[in-house]
Amino acid sequence: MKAHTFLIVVAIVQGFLLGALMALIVLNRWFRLRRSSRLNPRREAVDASMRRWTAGAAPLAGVLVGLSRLPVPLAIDALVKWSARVPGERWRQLAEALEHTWWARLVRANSSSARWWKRLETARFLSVAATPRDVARLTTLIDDPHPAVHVAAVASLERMENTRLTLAALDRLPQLAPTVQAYYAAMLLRSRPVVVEHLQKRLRRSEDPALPRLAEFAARLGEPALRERLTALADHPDPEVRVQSARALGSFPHRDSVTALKHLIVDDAWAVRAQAARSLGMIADVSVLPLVKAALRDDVWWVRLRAALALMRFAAPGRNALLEAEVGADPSARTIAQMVLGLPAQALAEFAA
Amino acid sequence: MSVLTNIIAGTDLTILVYFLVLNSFYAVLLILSIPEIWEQTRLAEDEDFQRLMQSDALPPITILVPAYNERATIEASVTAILTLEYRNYEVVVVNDGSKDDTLERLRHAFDLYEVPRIYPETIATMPLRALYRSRSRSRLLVLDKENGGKADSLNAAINASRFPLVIAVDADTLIEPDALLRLTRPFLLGREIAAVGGTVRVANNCTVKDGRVIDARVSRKLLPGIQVVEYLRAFLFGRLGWNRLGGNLIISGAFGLFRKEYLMAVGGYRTTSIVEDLDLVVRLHRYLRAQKIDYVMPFIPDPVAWTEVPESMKVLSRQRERWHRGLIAAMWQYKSMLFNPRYGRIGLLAMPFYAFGEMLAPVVELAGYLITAVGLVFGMVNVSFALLFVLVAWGYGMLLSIWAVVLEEVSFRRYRRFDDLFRMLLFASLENFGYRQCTVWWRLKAFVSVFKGVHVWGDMARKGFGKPSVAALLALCLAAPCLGQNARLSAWSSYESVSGSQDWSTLGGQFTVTSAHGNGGWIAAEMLGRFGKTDVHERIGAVLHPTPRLWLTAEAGTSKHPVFSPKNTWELDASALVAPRVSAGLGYRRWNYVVGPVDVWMPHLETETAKMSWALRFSVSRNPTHRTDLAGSVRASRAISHRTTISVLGAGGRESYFVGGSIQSLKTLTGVAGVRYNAARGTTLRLDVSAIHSSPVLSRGGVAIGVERGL
Repeated sequence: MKAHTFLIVVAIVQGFLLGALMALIVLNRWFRLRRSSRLNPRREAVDASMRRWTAGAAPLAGVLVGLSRLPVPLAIDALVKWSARVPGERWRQLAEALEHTWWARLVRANSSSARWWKRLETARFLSVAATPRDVARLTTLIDDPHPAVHVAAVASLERMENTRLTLAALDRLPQLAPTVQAYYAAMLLRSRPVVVEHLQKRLRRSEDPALPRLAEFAARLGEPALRERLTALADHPDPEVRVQSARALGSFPHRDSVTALKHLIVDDAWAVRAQAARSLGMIADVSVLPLVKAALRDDVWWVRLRAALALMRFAAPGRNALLEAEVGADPSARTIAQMVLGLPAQALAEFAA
Repeated sequence: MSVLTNIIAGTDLTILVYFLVLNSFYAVLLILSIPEIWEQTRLAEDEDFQRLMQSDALPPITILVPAYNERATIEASVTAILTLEYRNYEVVVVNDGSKDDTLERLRHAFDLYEVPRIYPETIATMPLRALYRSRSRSRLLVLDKENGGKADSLNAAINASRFPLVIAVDADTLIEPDALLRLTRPFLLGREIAAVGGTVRVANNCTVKDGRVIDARVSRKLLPGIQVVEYLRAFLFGRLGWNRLGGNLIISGAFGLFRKEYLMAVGGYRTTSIVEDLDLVVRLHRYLRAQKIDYVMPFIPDPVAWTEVPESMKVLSRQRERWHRGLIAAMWQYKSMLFNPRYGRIGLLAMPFYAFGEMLAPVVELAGYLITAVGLVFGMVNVSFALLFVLVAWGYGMLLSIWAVVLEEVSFRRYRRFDDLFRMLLFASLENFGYRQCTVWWRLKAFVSVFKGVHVWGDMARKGFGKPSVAALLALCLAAPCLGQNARLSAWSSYESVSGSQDWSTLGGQFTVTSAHGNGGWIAAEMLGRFGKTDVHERIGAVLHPTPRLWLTAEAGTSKHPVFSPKNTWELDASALVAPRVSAGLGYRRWNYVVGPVDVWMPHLETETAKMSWALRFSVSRNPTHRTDLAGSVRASRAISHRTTISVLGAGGRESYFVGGSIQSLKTLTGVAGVRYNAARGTTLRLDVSAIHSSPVLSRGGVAIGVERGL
């Protein structure tokens, strides 16, 4: 009897839930329709006032009123959308003016909220409307544990040139996954002088566990001021650092670079040898041709491939070396030379990229 | 009777506990899917984030497209893939030894030219014939190789891919233009991603233009319509819930992004697996856990690929049977991960859920239906309770389906029209009535296929459903009767001279156990000689005598070499004492020949007087040629002494026979006379003489002898 009663209760609860879910679906549709019919005119009004203000045909107050009539997420969406279209000076006026609006104050206050989506809202807002007084907030947001928040916050570097912010992002960079690192690197490139100065100091710390990532970033910068430090890293005990050094040195056709790469092409780690071969191809100094030719007989397929592709960049001497290898005694060198000589220009260009 | 009551009560309790545990787990998934979809929706709608995702930071991707005989769609599919919104990707199309002109079409459409191979063969595949690049589309690489199946093609494409992330796409799957961008969102969120899965939706009835779904609609037809809800439930509710539990075990093969280094580390796709995506994901989990690599395999709902689902029961049943066979195979293959703490949540949560909650669900559901039916017949189950239980179970299923519709509505709302919404709700409600039972049946068939050894067990391949099923049925049939048994052994032999053919011979034996209550079971084997060939037919059966007025009989049989005999036979009979000394019943028999089944319905009536007994039996058979045959027989038996009984049988009509490779309808007239002698110490001897006139073939006459001994 008890089980029977239990099942009846469950059935009633289920029936109630089913009804509630159906009602929820219908109400959700109705609410969305009503909301969009109410908000669309306001959104259009903001767009219109933004257009007029950008053209100098209307005062900023109209834009501020329009934004304040929108729900906060939509107001931020509108700001993000228009931030790319409005010239810098005018946009700074708007950012300054927004500091005094009630809703922007509320958004700023959420920078230390316990809820990540509130902090994300703040980060998105500040990425387009931050003023110098927001640096402390942005620094906190760049250190945020939620990836969406710090990725949004670092976008503020596009508009704000601030050493503190740049250094905060640079300190965070080595801890990030490769894709996010690449994104951070793209943002940091905008503050090149500060970054280069900081990197010159950091690359001297040979015990720094973040060194491989910082070296990778330094290689991406291709900054001549960093060449000396990157050349010094060619002797680093960590093969990962040497790989980054070998990769970076290809961008610097300098005597020291060639000397370092001559050592790296006979390194114990195959990844270092492959990168060194590639970089020597980029520099294309004829004096290293025998070394690259020797790499055609390397034990590792990837090193042989990199060496053969590098030889193609030495123009006639390199091509001749490959033709020699194609009929030479070493079977590995013969195979790789045949393959690379048969590649069309498009494929060679793709490999060079 | 008490044994049956105990069996029913025990099974009922087991099913109830199973039902409660499984549904509680579904409730947990349901609850966990709420914050997950909320978070995913926020991130998906974040326009700022979308902008960031279009930066150069995104990792390059290789799209793998296996193609076999895809001449009709290959140009449109590849063109659509080549116009996806993503900065850096390449497309590797593999022509898997197509017999049609798939390669020629690719060659003309994309101006292909041959290039040498520029990569090592890391994963072994079937030999490569040639490699092509396109003059018009620099992103495109085409591999032409010998046929080796989808998994082999994907492995060849992985070998050829240049980029660190790969996504396998079916040539007939339509990917939304921004789906790749969205699929890479977890990489931008910075976690250690091993693979990411996106949503697959049903494309039937949608408007498709230039390889893109431009208007999403819910099909008006029942089967694809129900599958719309089914897919929503599987993706939006099941997999999102698993995200929070950290154990997504399925990344759809039609739309999943994988880190190439891990794919290569596990040896790529397994060419012998039935459902290659499930197999791959389980192996990836096993490898990553064993190597102690930090990783996640999230599912994200907003990247969408559209696929056509089956619209006919036949195709759908094949698909579902194959999926379930793949699940059984994977669970068997990786059983060492089950409840193994070394594999963390995968071993302790995901694998047990898929093994017991998904793989065994159809078995438990069928057992539930059968036990409830048997219980109702014998009055052992409270009718209102049973109905209430079924109502609650189905109501829960409906609740889950409607929950999936709710998740869709509050998040992505791909189906904008009200009539589509109402259709989804309708199909969510109808799913439990008929469709769900069909899927249970299809998935049960997967178990039968597994026992038959259909492409599952590898080295453990088994032939026929004989041994394991006979053992299981034997245990089932003999469990109850053995408690208070009477055992009998019988043997028989017959010889018949057949006009226009070789003679027929039979040699058989049977072991029967019967309880004091009349319940019993038997196993029998017969060696048959027909048309110059020999076969062995094994049978197993049971009779239940639950009330003094009712007998239920079931028998199953299988043939070793079914050249002239059925591959397997099934027989059920229910007989009841309808009046003093009068019983009536209905039998059903299915004989599955290689050319198709013969179904026979057999109503019968028996009566007896002090010295005589009469049996009247009809058979209505339906054979694969859709012909219905009718035959009838009367048997009269009379005791002429206290040890001896004689009997006469007369029969006539049309019967279905397997002759000359097909089922034929033969007109027969039969006469049989026999004598049965009960000797001392429980031994019985019998002798029958028969003459059968059959038209147009198989007229025969013969003699049969038998002996039976009680133990």
